[in-house]
Amino acid sequence: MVPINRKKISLYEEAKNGLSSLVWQTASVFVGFILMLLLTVGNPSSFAITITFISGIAFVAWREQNRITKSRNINSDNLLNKRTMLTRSQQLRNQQKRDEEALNTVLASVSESVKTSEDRDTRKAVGLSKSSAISASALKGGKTNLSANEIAAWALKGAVETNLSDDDYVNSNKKITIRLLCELEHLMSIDDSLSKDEKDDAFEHLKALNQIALKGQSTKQLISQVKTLES
Amino acid sequence: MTQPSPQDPNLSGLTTKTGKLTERLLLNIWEPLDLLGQGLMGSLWRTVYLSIQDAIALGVLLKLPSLVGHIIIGKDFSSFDVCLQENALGVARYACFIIITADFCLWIVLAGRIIGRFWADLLELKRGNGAWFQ
Repeated sequence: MVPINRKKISLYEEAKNGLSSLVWQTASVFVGFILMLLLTVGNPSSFAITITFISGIAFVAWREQNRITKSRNINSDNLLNKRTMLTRSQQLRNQQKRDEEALNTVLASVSESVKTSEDRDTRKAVGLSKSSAISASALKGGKTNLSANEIAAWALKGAVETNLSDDDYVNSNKKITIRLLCELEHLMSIDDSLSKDEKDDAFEHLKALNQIALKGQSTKQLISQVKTLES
Repeated sequence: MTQPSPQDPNLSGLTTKTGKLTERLLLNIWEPLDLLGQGLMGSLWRTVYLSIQDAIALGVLLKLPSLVGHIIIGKDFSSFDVCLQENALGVARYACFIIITADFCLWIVLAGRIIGRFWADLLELKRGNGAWFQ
């Protein structure tokens, strides 16, 4: 189906350009004919008509040939562009796949941490799985090209939105948060879609988050950090 | 008949139900016709298709004066010498010139465009491309 559709679209485009050139050529030939009629005072000889007819055909054929050759060159350029765009979209898709795989590793390690956590508590485990679910849904739910920055923001948002009290969060999730941040740092270092400045910026944010997690600060501060990350 | 989805590249953003229906219908007619033409004529189909399109457009644009002349003036003009037999003070004479010129234009542009298309194809062949584009 795809090649037919591509051809059809290009046919449509050509038809659109074709009509404007058709009108233009017709107008030129019409003006030429009227001029010829004026010159021969309305009574043209058969020779004059033949000359006008042939020169008109030659003119239209020349213009048409020029137009088609030009549009073909443009079309082949467009085709090349489309091909490079395709590889670009493939790159993006691969990037997204890698992001997804990396996030899955993060989520797996988080759930592993929950399992091995010493002070295992059902409520906290539920909270963490919720945060994992939210970040996973962020990845799968329509957001096609998530950067590591965004993933970090979503993951932390998910952690914050589980409504754990400050103390619970700080005490039990500190280790896990640090681990998550380390994983995200790794994820960001392999994210090709970010420029160097953006990466440095995001690393700064991650460092700040890391320090907050290490100091065991409250969820409110985490929320404000997440907000700055998102903006 | 399925509802057109926004991802479909063939369908534009038509909003009315009849508009969508007509577009679907035309697409249903066009696609088999396109395949049939390609199967029968190969690369030549493109030239034939564009020539038919030209003929339709030119017919609408330039056969209109003849039709109007036929309805309003009630006369058919075929050549310039007929025009000169009309009264120089009447509108029929000038209408006649325009009608004949339009007829001439139709054939000149039609022939010119077909020749131009083949000319471009020949150049394409000469350039060593071997096959016609697409």
